[in-house]
Amino acid sequence: MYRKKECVAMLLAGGQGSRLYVLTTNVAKPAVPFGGKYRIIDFPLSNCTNSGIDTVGVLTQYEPHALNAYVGAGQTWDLDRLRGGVYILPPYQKGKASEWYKGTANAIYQNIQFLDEYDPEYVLILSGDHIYKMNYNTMLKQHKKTGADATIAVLDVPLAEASRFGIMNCNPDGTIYEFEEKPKNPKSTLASMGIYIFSWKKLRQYLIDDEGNKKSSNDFGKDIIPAMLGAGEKLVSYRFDGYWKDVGTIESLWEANMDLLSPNSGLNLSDDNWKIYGRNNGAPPHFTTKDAVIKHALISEGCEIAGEVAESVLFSDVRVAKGAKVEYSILMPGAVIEQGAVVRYSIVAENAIIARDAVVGGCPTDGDVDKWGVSVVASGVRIGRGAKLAAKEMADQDLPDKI
Amino acid sequence: MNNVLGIIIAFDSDNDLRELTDHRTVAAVPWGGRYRIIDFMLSNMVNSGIYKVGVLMKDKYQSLIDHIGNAKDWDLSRKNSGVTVLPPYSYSKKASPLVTGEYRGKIDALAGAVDFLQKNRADYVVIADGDIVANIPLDDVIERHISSGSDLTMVCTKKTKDSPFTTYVELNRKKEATDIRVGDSNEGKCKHVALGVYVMSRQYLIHLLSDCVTHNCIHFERELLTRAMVDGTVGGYLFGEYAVKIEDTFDYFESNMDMLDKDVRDEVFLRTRPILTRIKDEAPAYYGDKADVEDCLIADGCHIEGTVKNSILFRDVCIEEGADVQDCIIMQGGRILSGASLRHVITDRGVTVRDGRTMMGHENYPITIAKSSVV
Repeated sequence: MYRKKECVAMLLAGGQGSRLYVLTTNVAKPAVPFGGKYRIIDFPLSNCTNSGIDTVGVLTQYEPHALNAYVGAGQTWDLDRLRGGVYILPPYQKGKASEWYKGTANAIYQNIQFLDEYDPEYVLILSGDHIYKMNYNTMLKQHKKTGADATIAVLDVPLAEASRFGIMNCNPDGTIYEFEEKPKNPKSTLASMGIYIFSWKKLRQYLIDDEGNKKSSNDFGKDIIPAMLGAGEKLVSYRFDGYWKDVGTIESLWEANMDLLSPNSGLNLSDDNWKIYGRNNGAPPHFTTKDAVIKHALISEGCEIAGEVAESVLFSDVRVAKGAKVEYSILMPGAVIEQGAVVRYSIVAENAIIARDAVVGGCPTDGDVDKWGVSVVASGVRIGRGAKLAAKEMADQDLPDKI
Repeated sequence: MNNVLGIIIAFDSDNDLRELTDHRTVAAVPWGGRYRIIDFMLSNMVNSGIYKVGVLMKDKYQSLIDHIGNAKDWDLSRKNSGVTVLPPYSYSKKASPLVTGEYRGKIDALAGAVDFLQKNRADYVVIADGDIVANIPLDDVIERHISSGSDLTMVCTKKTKDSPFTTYVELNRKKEATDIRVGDSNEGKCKHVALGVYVMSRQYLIHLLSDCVTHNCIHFERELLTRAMVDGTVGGYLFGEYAVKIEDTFDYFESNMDMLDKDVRDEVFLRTRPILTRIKDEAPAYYGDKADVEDCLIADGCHIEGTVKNSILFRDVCIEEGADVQDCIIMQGGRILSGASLRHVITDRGVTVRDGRTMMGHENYPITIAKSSVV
């Protein structure tokens, strides 16, 4: 069958996301719920569909079950196509060498055959841990116009934060002359967003060369980009100025959810021209009882709210009983907050139960601000009656009743 | 249940929902915050393992065809089955000699699709009206039909009201019908009503249709059911959970408002038998700082800054700060602007109520604002 595609996307979704701790014990990071009814992977997949890219390989490795089930045949994102569509690409056994994906570049290397089948001109490399809306087609147009070998999306970040990112040092015309991974003294504030477009023929050769180099860590940022720069290839930056957030840590995941409550965050989920698609579980509309007080919150279908909810994001099928109080928190699908329980500055994962009069999380101003952090209750965990989970603590096992 | 064929009657007979059915049939009327009424029967079929569903239509069916689309959202986009849309004039005289052209009623409609019935290989057929709100385990109805040995089984509920369009049924101890009458309950002797869901073997249906059409019988409940009862046995399957047949605006309003009761919701929206509908991919509902919401059913995509009580908001409804909405049904895309005040009002899709407007209906006579109006 004729399969040629101009551009194929490869989504790196194999990372464990260890800095999300208990939230990724059983699921890969891209499958972590986000924004009231989505999962992180919905953002890059929806961006692909909205950008007209209809062939996406999803590279999985760590805890792939939830992710495989979630992606399914791709109909959620309109990616169930006759030619192309979405493919889950786990590591597999080959003739001689069989191995796990050793690094981001190695993951693509191991799927050269998949890409060759579509004989693409360009390959778009994405990662599964960022929240943003971006038209990849605009980036592709620039890539073609500049005749670059690689185009790297960059974001202008505050100087104080620049040392947390991979920094692209650019000439005035946008070409990149140097890449520095987490520099102590950044020369520029243009951070790599982990979104690359490569001309496939070029990348293909660099992947093969990189694989032959025993010292390489087989990583795009650490090996491929520096090798291309060293060889004098044309690398061009693509400036992006919309909302973008790496949700690789508990704090950033919490913040990005809170951003949705702010009308000026720059991330508009209600934009009909750039919808984010996610799987729907068929729950009825949410119900708000006469005892409920809800201020400044996002509430999804299937919820039953009888308590107080403020500054929070509630996923589908969450129960907040009368007399319970929820503030500045994220309640993932099926979470139950019983009567008299107080949940503040917390992430409560799927189907967790906060029993009667339990107290979870704390306000930054209540104690030592430096020791403050978002509390996390792992999925399915029950915080017993009257039990207490302090700020920044994580519960990955049931806490017994205190009353 | 791949030996069962489902047929949904998606055109109106005696129903009248005023403005709401000006340009669509009752089956296609939005209901319960995110559904169309036909979603219940489509979901009941899928949840019971019936994956071959014919939808009979007569007029005003554009809205319905739009809603069903390729039927993927009900998992009914299947290779060897799925949804078959059956509008009038579907078959030539040769293929369907009993009736071609316009239908006078359900019998004509079914007879017009006799080719569809004959070509199917299912043993049993479920015929269900598309104007019913209920979560019915059709698989159980079919099992009971088979084990009872009846020629035809109909789903019955307890009689709750008197209406000239209701089919009243008298059942004996063996739950077999001894009288079926439309319009009156024979001074209360008929203690049950037929909801509009019938199970029989496919061959028996074809036989009954041919019998009725050749004798010019046109009324399904009055004539076809009576024939079945006289010639054989018609069993009743008693359904005790929440069930409503939407016949008029009052039924419509009341059944929606019933969903504000948790016990009723728990009978209708079951986790194990979900009611499926077309996915619109709206963001979660947003509550602003001034939102004051009590006893409401609210769909995704809503934006609430004002006061809403005892109401149902469909997807993508905007209630501005200072607006006051009570005992209302606001359909998709409704915009209630600051200072507007509504009581017992149903607004059809895409209605805007400008600032300062006041509209009041009554519990017994909710007023309806037609689609896309600006008040």
